[in-house]
Amino acid sequence: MSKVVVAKDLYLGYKNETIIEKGSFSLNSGDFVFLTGASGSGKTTIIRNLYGELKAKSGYLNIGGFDMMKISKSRLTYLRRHIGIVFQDYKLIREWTIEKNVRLPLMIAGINEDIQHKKVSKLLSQVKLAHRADKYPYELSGGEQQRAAVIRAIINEPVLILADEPTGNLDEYSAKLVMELFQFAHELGITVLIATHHLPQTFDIPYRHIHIEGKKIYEVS
Amino acid sequence: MKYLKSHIFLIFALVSILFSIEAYLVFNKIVSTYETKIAKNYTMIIVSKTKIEKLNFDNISKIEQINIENSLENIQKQLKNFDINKIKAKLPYFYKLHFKKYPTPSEIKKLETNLLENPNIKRVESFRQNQNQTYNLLLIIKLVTTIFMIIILFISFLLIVKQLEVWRFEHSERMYIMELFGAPFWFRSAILLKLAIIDSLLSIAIIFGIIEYVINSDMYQKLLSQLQISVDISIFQDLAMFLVISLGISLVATFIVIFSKKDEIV
Repeated sequence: MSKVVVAKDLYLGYKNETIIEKGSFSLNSGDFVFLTGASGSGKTTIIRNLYGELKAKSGYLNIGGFDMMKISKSRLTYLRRHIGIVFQDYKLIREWTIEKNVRLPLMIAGINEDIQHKKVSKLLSQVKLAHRADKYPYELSGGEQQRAAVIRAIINEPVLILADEPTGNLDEYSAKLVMELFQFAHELGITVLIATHHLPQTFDIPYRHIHIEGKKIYEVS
Repeated sequence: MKYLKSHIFLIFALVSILFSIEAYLVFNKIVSTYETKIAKNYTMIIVSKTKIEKLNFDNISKIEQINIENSLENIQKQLKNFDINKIKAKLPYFYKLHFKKYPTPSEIKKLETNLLENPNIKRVESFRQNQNQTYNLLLIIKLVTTIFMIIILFISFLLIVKQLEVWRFEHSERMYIMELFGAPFWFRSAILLKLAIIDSLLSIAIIFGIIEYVINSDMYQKLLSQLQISVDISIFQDLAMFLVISLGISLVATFIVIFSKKDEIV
């Protein structure tokens, strides 16, 4: 099984503060991984490091064959086209409709516009959001916005999906629907890493569990 | 309406800048046309014992001898004992000096001094006082238009800074989200660049309207006819300059927003 992410002895932090010490972990292709830890333990820091917004102080990080310690801006831009990102606050573009928001990765990839519309329409129907396609994010509930955000992350079938507390703002039912979407992504063969406070009570598919405590990263068996 | 709200400051600032520059150019054109006109009318009189063919001063366009025959003949008609030939032999030569461009008071003073150093030149009449008043008036007009332009440019600069803050707030999140999904620079900036270009073109269209209205207005035409000058102003001649200034300012503003957005987010 090929490695999508390889992290060795990572030191992460902000200015003089170290959040993660000697963090090592790896994600295999097709893995479904929960990253847990208390508030402020460093989950978001790891996610930010993985999508290239925060550079590690030292160590080694390789994503999809790219050395993240030495990656150039243009290569990072290219790599990000193969990573889907989901945030707790959805990060949908306010002035765009849901359809256009979901279409964003396809627009960036330069896919034919007809194909873009067909693909978005199909996925929105699948998650029962087709009737909301022409609405703006502020016209949707939190759960609907997050489902749209997950669809946006999935739509161009990236290698890796990173989700930072994707159900943190949602009620139980909406959270369940969102988790089902991540399972759908997993079925497509996408590697999924979800940073969350708590593991879901029930989960239908086998998953790995990585935990952060005392600035260290542990694999929970 | 939403677009206008979000762009009104930049459009207003661009229109102000273009208008003040055009006003400055038009005023300068009027003043220099008027200067040329009064330079044509302005002459200096010199009285010389000998004939003058040439004077070594750059600004002098022509040395014209004043014909006094008619005046002498008139006098002869009135005075019976007037011997015109005797008088003629004793009279000096009178000349009018014409200038290429309107001389400054200091140029006139210098010329006057230099001419009087010549022992053959008996008298120089420069009408300096009248000339000084006119010249100072032109200087004041030039100064006022320059100050006007500087004030407008300063206020417009403040408006652009204000607009940049609005844009930074409005567009930074969208560009950040696009960046997260690997959008290249031109993709992220396309909307802002498009808006900047539209704002520039809109400003040029507005300024065309305003200036066309002003130069065709009765007030402006009356002013020119009072000054007895005709100034050929075609806004189309300034189109390239307007395009460069307007697009330059709005694109620089846009790039400032594009490159400064990261600090807001992280």
